[in-house]
Amino acid sequence: MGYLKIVSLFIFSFSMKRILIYVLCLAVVLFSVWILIGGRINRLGRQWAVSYEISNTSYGYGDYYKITDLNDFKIRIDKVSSPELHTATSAQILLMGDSFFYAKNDSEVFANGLEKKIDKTAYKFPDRTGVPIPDLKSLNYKKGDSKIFILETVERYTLKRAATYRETDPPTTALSFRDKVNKLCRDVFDGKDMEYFFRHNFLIYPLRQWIINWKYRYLGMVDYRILARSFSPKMLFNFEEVVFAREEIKDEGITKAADNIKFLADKLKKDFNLDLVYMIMPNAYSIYYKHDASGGGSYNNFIPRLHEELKKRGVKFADVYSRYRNFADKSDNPPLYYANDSHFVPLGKSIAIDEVAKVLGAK
Amino acid sequence: MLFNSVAFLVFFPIVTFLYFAFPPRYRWFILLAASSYFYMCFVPKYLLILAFTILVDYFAGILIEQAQGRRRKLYLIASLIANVGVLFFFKYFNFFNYNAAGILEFLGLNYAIRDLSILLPIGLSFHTFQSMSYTIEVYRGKQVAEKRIGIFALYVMFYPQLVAGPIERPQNLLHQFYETHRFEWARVVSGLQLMLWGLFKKVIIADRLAFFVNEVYGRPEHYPGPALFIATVFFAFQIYCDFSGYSDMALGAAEVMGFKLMKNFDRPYFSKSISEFWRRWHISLATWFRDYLYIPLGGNRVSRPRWLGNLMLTFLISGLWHGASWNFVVWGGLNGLYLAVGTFVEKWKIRTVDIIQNKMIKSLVGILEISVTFGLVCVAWVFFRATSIAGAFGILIGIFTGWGQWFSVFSGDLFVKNILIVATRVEYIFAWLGILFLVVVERLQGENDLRASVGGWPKVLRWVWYSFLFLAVIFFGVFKNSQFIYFQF
Repeated sequence: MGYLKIVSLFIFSFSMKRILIYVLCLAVVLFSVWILIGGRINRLGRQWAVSYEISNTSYGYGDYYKITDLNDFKIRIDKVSSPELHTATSAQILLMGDSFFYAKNDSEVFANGLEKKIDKTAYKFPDRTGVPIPDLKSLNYKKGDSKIFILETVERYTLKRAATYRETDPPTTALSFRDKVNKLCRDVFDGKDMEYFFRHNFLIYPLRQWIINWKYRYLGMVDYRILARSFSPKMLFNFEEVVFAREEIKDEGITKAADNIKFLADKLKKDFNLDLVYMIMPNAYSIYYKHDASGGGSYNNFIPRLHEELKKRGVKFADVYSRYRNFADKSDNPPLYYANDSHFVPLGKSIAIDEVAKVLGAK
Repeated sequence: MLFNSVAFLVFFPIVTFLYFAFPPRYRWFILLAASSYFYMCFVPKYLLILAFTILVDYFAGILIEQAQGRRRKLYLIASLIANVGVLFFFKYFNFFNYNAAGILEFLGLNYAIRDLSILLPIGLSFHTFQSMSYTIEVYRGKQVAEKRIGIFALYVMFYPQLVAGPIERPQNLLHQFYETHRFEWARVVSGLQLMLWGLFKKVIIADRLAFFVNEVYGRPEHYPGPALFIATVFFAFQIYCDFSGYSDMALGAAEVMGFKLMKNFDRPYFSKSISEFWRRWHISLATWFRDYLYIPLGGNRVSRPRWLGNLMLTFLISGLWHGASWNFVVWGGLNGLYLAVGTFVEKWKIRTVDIIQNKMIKSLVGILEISVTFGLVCVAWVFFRATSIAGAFGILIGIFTGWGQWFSVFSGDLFVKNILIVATRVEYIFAWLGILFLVVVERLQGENDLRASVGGWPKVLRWVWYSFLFLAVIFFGVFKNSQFIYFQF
């Protein structure tokens, strides 16, 4: 009897172990298949992902929260509804630019704010390729009465964008065979969506967030896409702006960019009867580099140098940088950028609007 | 697809499941399809280059086997020319073109051939060498020509070792594709353990050291001697952990499916001489050059000057194998020189060590030998990592300057100000801890396989060990999708 008991116990324990092994292996495979499905079929992936910013909602937590997932930076930002008030034909001022012109964080979009400030009608072009002349052509804008054209670009992309300002042909929208093959390859072989889904699905995300916050709280570690931070004002700085601020930019690069902007100004006037006002939105790091907690903050003075060149060429520009610099240098002034987002706070936006209004001659 | 990516985390269990789920006669196809997908995740069209190599060597193998006399040699030469031609075109054309242009310009002649604007296919040198070893072995009569093209394609493309080795020999790998591998839990666990250790070395040590190495080697003129010294030591461990980490993951992944690949590293930084180092570092490549170049040239069974020539030629070509740049040639040449000098010094060294009777002094001498070997290896690594030969000399000279700032460098203060990571000091401390951990583990491991050493521990300790590795990877791994250094070769 005792012998039988031992044998049956052995068989039982053996088979239990075996069952456990197979269950474990199956779970791992099923989990992998699940990640594969969620990562490849976005419609399903969205159902299983922890989404913290749905585009239709009236609030968000900022792009740096999206990157870092740090609870310390989970600060609500309301999206203020900003209706289009005019069309390109009816408006007196036309605006084109990047996310700073589209941001409606805790305040209306730039165009609406400007309109209220200077009592002139303003219209913001929809987001296209970011290359003004081809974009105006593809938007079917025709030469008419003289108008103001405010072109905004964030500082870190200025050089890259200025290099495209001589382009005049609208982009072809039809995909070539090569493009189609490349797209297919991307869809089949690119793992980015899968990676995103892996990090943000409802099973992994809570654990991941806990680890991230633990590392931040006890070791000060942050996502590697954030390269610097400041404690006062509380801010994060992304890798693009920190690298840009420390990059050695040669004078030739700046004069070339200024030449291209001048070319664009002339071309806009000639082909569309538009008077260019160029506006560079400073990176937060370029304004707050002295507050870099590492103590090693520096800035290559890119904007003042480019403004100097623009002045020589007679290109009109809004000097937001100097306004921000003067404001930020007073220690008790509130921050101009969000702690959890790369864009300006309503105060920063209103200073920028004020500067543009000044350039346009408003009182 | 990188071993340290989410894509691989998904790919590996699914492929392994399919491999075991399918009947053995279809498994080669699963592996071939998976390997193709794995490779196409880098640049899809470069699969065509692999296909070319496979086709050429598949037919070359059969023709060599069937042919007699001079024809065998002709087929072999044709195959070697095709393989080396692909390698030359994609990897070395621009290098030779640039140098030819320089020489002709110096002579006042016109040179109009332009550089090619092509990307180097990932792991080209690895699978080309693996494929070449097949035709050479068939020619030597040590390997039967593979008749099934699918199996041969798998030999060249087997995904665990496709992009960074180990460079396998047909005798070791080909027959394994015909064997039926059963699902064995113990073997699966053992493979996973090796993968975990490899991943630990990659994401905890190598990728963390990269922050410091990239910064200092990126602008060495901004750093004083101690920082250049630290960055060089860091690079020595970075490249070791990066490459041996990849090899461990490759060996582990293959082992899970029942394949046994050759060992590629054997604690190289514990070597007491350069010759020992080369028996422990990138073993599959070192033995490839030994078997297919050095020995055919006559090895050391020739006159001393010719032996020296053989040695230097082998190492210079080995350097060039690593990259199309004079830096790598100098790196190879320096290693050849070390070996040559080491051979002359060896007898004297053995005699001196034999005289010493005191155990403590003997072990101190052992530490000294390890340190000197490591130092010499580090000097060579400077040429490997620097962007130019002039830059390498600049770093080597720079190491001896600016030692007044040693405290600010060793304490990490200088890095905190210069390196673009938020918690630089924490990363700096972790970087040193990682190196220390590796050295202690490899010292304790001795001549054994790490898993065998750990396997001898009590169950609780084993659980603690593997849990520690796992949690360390999860908590402190650097997941930036950074490529493995050797992929570029």
